[in-house]
Amino acid sequence: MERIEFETVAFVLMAISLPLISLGSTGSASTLWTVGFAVLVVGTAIPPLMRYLESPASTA
Amino acid sequence: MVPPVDPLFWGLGVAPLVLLLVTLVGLRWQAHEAASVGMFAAVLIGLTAYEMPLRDLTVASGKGVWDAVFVLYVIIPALIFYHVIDRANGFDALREEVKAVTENELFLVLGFGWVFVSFMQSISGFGTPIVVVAPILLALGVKPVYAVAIPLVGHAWANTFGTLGVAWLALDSTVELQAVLLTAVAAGVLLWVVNLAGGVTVAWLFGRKEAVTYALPMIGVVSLIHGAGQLLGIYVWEPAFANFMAATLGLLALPLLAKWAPYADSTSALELRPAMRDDFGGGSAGGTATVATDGGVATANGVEIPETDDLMGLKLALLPFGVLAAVAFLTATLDPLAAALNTVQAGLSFPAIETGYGVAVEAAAPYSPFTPLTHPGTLLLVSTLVAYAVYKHEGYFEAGPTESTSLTRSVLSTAIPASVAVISFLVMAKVMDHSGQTLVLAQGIAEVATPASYGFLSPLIGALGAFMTSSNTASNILFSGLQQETALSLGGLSENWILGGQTSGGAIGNAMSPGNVILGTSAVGIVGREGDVLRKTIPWVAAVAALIGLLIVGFNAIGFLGVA
Repeated sequence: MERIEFETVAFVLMAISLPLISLGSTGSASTLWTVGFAVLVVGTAIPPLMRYLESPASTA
Repeated sequence: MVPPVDPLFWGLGVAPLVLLLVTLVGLRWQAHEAASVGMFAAVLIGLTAYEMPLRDLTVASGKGVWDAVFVLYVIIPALIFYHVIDRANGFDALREEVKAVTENELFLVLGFGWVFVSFMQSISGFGTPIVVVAPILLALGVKPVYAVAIPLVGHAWANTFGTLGVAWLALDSTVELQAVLLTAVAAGVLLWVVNLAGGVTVAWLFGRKEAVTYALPMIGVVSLIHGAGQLLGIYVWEPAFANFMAATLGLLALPLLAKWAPYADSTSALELRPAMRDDFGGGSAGGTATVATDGGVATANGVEIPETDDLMGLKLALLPFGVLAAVAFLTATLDPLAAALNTVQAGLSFPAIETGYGVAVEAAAPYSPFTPLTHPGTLLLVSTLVAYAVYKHEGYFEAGPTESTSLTRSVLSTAIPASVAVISFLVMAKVMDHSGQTLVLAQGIAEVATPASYGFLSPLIGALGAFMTSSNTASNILFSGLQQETALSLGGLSENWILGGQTSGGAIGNAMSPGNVILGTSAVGIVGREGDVLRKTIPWVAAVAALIGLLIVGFNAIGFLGVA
């Protein structure tokens, strides 16, 4: 995968987290907001992780 | 209730900001990498030291993602706006046509990077002026990093009373002012200084001391129109329209100033021109622009510039900007139209939260509703559609499937990393706010201050708010109450000057807010160079905040515009 593809995954995960957090927290569905928060954390962690994990050849 | 305001909690509260600045400016990480580090720091500190329950932390994070929608809906339309104009060679045409009026590069940089960007700020907001002006400066031969830094500095003064005074109205409605007019006048006086500092700094960035000396007459005249015009507008007309009047008069003065003897010739005689690309060759049509070696590499570089005869005229080149200005003005001033458009809104609900230290935020249903039809993103899309239709009709835009795919790729390759950075940054800001970290930072400053030193520090608190939120308006909502209460409790301080300092600090803080910087870097294709831009704007913000802080202390001491 190229860098932009990883970044797209990060962006999609962040976007998905929004309705999960809103619906889960207002509806007292703890599983939903927990998954939403986890998805947000994973999405946010991708950019700094890529900094250390990506090989020079895969840099876009 | 708030968490303890002591050195430990203050140090923990400031840690996410320090980490952000170290990684972004010191280590030159890309914005989305640095913002992520700041966000994780804010989350961990909020969860542990500031006793924020996980569910409440999640709610704050969700609100941060929602806040990002407002910025992303400027970034993506702005990129489409830029690419449509660029592919019709509109920026090349604009450059050639403007050069027919004057070839004085310093005049053009000041004209667009200080005067035109201020006009755009007077009618628009959310960073739209930056994404519009930065590519124009790039087309004029300004290096990419400077093309972002210059409008950031140039537009700052217009933040409080610009966008038809929305930041001022926020301040006025957040606190009960003792003397509304005097506070507005105090803000106007301080913002005049910011305006003057902006003009001087733009000239200094262009060509250091020699350029400042050369440009001083023009800066003096324009600053008189901007600063005095805004003050006059505040005093005799209406604060909401003061900046629009002053910025419009400043823009109208440009053609007259272009004929003034000192600026009728080229500025190629200036020896030092660090902001300009040496390899640009004046940007003449028919040549090939190459990659800049200093100040960044932009996607717009390295492309064939068409022959002058193939380029559109000035009216067509200005069309998208004119449509944008007209649509923005109409939606902002025609109340029935705005009311009708604002009936279309969307928002998500979030529950009430409360930390272990009692920092509470009420439930919101919906939270910060999004009104897409009056949002600058839609205004940009409307302008783009009009420009696209006209350019295609006139034969300046070839739009086949290959072109469309290429345009989509260009937009997404810049928009995705910028969007990730904006989301991370706004989640960090919201977590800091809802956990009480931001409040501890501001109260910590207020608690150690004396009346004199607090006058000096009040713009710094305003700037901190704008740095955190990328918004003068949000900064005023966050900190106006704190500033007013502190001024009253310390005694001997003029509320007019302290709140003037708050909103002026909020205005200049926009020049270093990562959200605005990312808008600029994405517009000129240098995403990842945000640290380089901040290296130029942070010292300016610090110096101007100190200058207006000293003025507040001085004015307060002599009793100008009233003392508490």
